[in-house]
Amino acid sequence: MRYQSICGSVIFLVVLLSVPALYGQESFFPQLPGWKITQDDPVYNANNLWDVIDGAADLYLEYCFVDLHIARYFNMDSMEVKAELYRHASSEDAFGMYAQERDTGYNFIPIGVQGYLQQGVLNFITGSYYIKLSTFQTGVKTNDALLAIGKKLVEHLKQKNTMPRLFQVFPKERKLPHTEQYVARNFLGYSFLNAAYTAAYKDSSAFKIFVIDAAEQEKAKSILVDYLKAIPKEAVTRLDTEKYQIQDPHIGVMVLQEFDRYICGMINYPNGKIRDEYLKKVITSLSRNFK
Amino acid sequence: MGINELDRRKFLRTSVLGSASALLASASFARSRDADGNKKTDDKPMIRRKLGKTGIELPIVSFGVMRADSPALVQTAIKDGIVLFDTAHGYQGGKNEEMLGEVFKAYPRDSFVVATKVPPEIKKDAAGAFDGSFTTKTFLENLDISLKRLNMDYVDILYVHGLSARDAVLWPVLLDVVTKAKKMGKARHVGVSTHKNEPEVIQAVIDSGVYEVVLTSVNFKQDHYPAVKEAIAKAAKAGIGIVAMKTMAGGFHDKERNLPINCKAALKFVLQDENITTAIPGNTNFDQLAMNASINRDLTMTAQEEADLLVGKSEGGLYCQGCEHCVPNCPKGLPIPEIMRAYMYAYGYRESRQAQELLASLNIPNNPCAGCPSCSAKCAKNFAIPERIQDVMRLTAVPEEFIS
Repeated sequence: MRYQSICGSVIFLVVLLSVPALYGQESFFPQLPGWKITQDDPVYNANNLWDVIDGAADLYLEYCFVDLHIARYFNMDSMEVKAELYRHASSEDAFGMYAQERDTGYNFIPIGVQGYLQQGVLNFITGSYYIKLSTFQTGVKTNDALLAIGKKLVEHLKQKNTMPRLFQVFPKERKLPHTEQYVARNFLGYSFLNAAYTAAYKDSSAFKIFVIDAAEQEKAKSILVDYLKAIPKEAVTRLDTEKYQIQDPHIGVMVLQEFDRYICGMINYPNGKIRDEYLKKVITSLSRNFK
Repeated sequence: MGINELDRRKFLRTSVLGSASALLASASFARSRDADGNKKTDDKPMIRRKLGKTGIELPIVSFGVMRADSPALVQTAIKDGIVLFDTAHGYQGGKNEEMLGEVFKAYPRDSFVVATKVPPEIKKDAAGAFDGSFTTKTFLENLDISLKRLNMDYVDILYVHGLSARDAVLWPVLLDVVTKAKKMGKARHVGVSTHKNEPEVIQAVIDSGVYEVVLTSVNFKQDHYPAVKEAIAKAAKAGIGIVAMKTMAGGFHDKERNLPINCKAALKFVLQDENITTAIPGNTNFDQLAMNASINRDLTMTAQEEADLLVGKSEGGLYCQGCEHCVPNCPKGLPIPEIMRAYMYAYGYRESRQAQELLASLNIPNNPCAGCPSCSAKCAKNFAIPERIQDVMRLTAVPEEFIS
């Protein structure tokens, strides 16, 4: 509940701060030569996102969704492209929501922070905007049109196009491409595990690394206490002062290590050597860049 | 607002937060399951209800699957005895269905019930009419994609996703396409999902003679709850299976999202209506799942739960009955009932444009209460009149293009 209140306050600030900017700006949507724009759809907010994407809205709200702006681009060839601009309270939230819908097998292209082009669909993020472009038309010109509009939007919105910063601490070796996720709430199904950054790896078997940003050292400690309370005692082995190996009844084998305001962990790692090697890399990077 | 009013609000807020925390604590994962994650034996039998004439019988609490990154939640729900899992073609770009398909590989097909929702894609032809052949083609294609993601030959319930008008429910193109899907063996039963104009949609479902199930939003906060309840009763009598959603009413009593709803009480409230077969709360963590699943064995509402639901009502609700009790005491002669109606449009029906138009038609200043040190107008329903006026009048300053 505390998280939602914070989310609500941040959303209010985002909307408030954007109003003066919007007055000086024609629209969220840029003009493109050869294209006409219509904006007949209403602007949706957290109270009525249901009206347009039904039950899918719940997850957007977990990622501090602010509002949704929709425009339609038409050109001389009767091509229609629908542009949906989901604004979130932060670039982490936009990335998190995007990653919830992204599949690692998609056709990724360089646009904004990250994006992919499928048949008739271009989805990408730029800063705190998650943008979806789609058209019913098919053919060679379709992809060109989607790309042209997408690139113009990136230019127009003037956002920072970098991955959330905490992903820098994830080792590059054996990391599977496009598997980074930011889970705003209920990571692994636990209500006290929030703001988790994760990525998937493959050695002799697949495993995951995660870092939870608890914002404060005391909070990190209390999260760890909550988690250990939720697990049967016999499933927990203390490896070090602040390092635990756990046989989680739902998730599998896991290691957790507290470091400053962060909780670092790995899930289903193949062996102790890999566990220690990767965890050390994460902690070293955190101590150099984030302490 | 006087000091007493502030204190009362603070007390209500604290008591609701307290009881919500207590509920979560009592649902603690650690205490409700053994070392293998199995739910500890509960002596009470599972409450089950029939889903209309479909022949399916379900526990009263099911699972609205919201996210794909925790298959462990679905596995735990199965252990807890939950049978119906509800997803949709569009959730998480299809990853939601894929996750369910992956989880269900380990279970016999007849041990669970899966419902998915496919939206009707709409396109107009050159003459400006709805292109029915396009809708049919895309609907069946999308259903095939959903089945592939789910690793299944059929779904137990196929809903047309998100209809909100009688014409849409009875559009022959949709009636034909769901009939076709059923004949092809891709859906055992067909239905409609709705979260707007529910009574109208439910009546159309009854009249269709085709749909067998309706997934409808229903909750204790709906101003039109009596009408929804009545429509549900008619549908149940006609043999339509009723599945409830949005039972938590958004999770908060107030639009500022400071006053959390007792979600367990809200879910129990809806399920008191025996015409509703089951509800599909969205579970995103184990605590929530354990709390919701516990209702499958105990639907009794405690006195505290009943009191918690009344919190919202004591805050006044949204519906102005237009009694004009307030009008004579307003020194400025403001059309308070109309302003309260605008407030209801904005915050109840989420029709900001309608609210703005109504306010514009009243021809009152932007700050109509200016100069009044306190408000002498009293509302028969205890609406906080000056706060609501101040709140909704902000809409008049918002440019039209920013109003949804």
